[in-house]
Amino acid sequence: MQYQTDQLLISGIKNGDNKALELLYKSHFKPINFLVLNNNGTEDEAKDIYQEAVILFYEKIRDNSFELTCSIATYLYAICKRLWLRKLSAKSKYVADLYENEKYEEVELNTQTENEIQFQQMNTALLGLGEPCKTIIEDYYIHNLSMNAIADKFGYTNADNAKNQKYKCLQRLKKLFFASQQNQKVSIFE
Amino acid sequence: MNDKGLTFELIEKYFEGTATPEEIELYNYRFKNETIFAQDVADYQKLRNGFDVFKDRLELKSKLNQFHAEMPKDIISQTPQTKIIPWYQNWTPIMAAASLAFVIGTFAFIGMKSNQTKSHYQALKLDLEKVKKSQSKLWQVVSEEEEEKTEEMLSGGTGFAINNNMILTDYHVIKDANKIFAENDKFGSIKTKLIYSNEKLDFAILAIEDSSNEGFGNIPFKFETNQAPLGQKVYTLGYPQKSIVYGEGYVSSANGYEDDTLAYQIGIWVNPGNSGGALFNEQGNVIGVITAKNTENEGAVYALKSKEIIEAINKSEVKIKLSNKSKTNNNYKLSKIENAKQFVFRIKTSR
Repeated sequence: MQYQTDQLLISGIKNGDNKALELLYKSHFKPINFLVLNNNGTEDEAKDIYQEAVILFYEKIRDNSFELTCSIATYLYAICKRLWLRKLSAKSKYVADLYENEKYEEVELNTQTENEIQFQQMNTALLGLGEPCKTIIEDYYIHNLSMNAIADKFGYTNADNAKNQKYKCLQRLKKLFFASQQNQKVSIFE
Repeated sequence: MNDKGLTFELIEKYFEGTATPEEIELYNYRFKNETIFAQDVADYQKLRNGFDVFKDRLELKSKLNQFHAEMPKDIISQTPQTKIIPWYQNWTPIMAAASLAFVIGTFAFIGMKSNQTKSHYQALKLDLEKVKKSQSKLWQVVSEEEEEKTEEMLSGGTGFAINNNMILTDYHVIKDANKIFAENDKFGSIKTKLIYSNEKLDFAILAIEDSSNEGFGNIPFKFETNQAPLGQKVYTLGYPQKSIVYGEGYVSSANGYEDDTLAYQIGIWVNPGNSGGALFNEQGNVIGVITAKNTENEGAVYALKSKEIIEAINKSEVKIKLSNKSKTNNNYKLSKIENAKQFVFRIKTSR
């Protein structure tokens, strides 16, 4: 029964059904919240860990990159546990209990997707950009504002001036973006 | 635009579907015959893909946050972990003064130590002298009265009310000051005195000096001591200029300058004068106080975490009763900002 619902949820998410995502999100939080709260975590940390796992799951489903070999609940729990252990050891509040009953060994737990890397790369590049470049770039490439709207917003006399500015900003972003790509690669090889 | 700019424009037009047939022909020709052009195209596609991933991720994150908010409260709070902020009935000025000397003495050493490493760290105090010079051309009409006022001013920053008669700001804003005024549209100019300062964490608390002043009344926000999640949307209200300025951003790192765990790193655009400004979350509560920005990295601003402020206040001997206003039912953000604005002050100091 559980298995069938899982399959329905997964195909719903694959097809971009928001309701399926909502159901997935709302039905699996409880045990994970319990896990984090009982292991030195806060509600906010539980939420963070859980969302990270859901995003990972979502992205893997969306690009057909894996086959689920257990229930969604088991999978999400295993991912969250792994993420939380990592966070705890980073906080050096390491808890040995969590390693007991390691029954999710066979679940594939690669937690860094290509999307995650790209997201971090873009985030770092945008943060390094400074203003007004950051807003101009975000307005155009992320919020899809027109050049005219951007010119108005920033007080440029015409769209061409704004375009010129946007070009310069993008050149800077490009450098930052590809520089952080280099860094990412280095850190993966290390 | 130079050649490179024109090349870029051609590529962008091609991918956005606004290229003319001639341009498409030119594009195809150059793509086949120029390796550098083909490389530019590849880079452009990678960047656009990066934007798409970034955008999708933000949208997904906000969807999830919405789902989270809709979940029943008993699922989110299985074991109550609420922190109780002590609610002291009174504080006495004498006790405050006595402990103040102690507190300043203690932190002077710690402060010195930590300052050595802060090379790209810029506190956001507004140096009024400097601003006056650099903007003198912009302010062509300055009345004589105002001219006199600015001359004796030392520095400026932002502060916000934390209870009926106290205002919190950054330590570096009021450091070395003899007279400290807090002013805004609603309450006018209020003379305040320093009752608590913490140089290490860089915050200070001021109290209304005039005992006949009725105070600020109910404050529509409180401190949020839970760690703010990465990516949480935040906004600030501050006085980098004479009128109040609203700014929006997000929590970009759980830790501040050189992994300082006392502060958040915020992706937001602020200016000198924003120092001491409250950082509000989407619920309109205060998750931190803006202290500094990274001089190397325009987008990185640091904010002292609310949790650290509360802990420091609790440890201190000064009894400070904090605003514990429960959430207002009003969910409309705009009016929340207008509401909060009335309890944010421009801090002006003089020697």
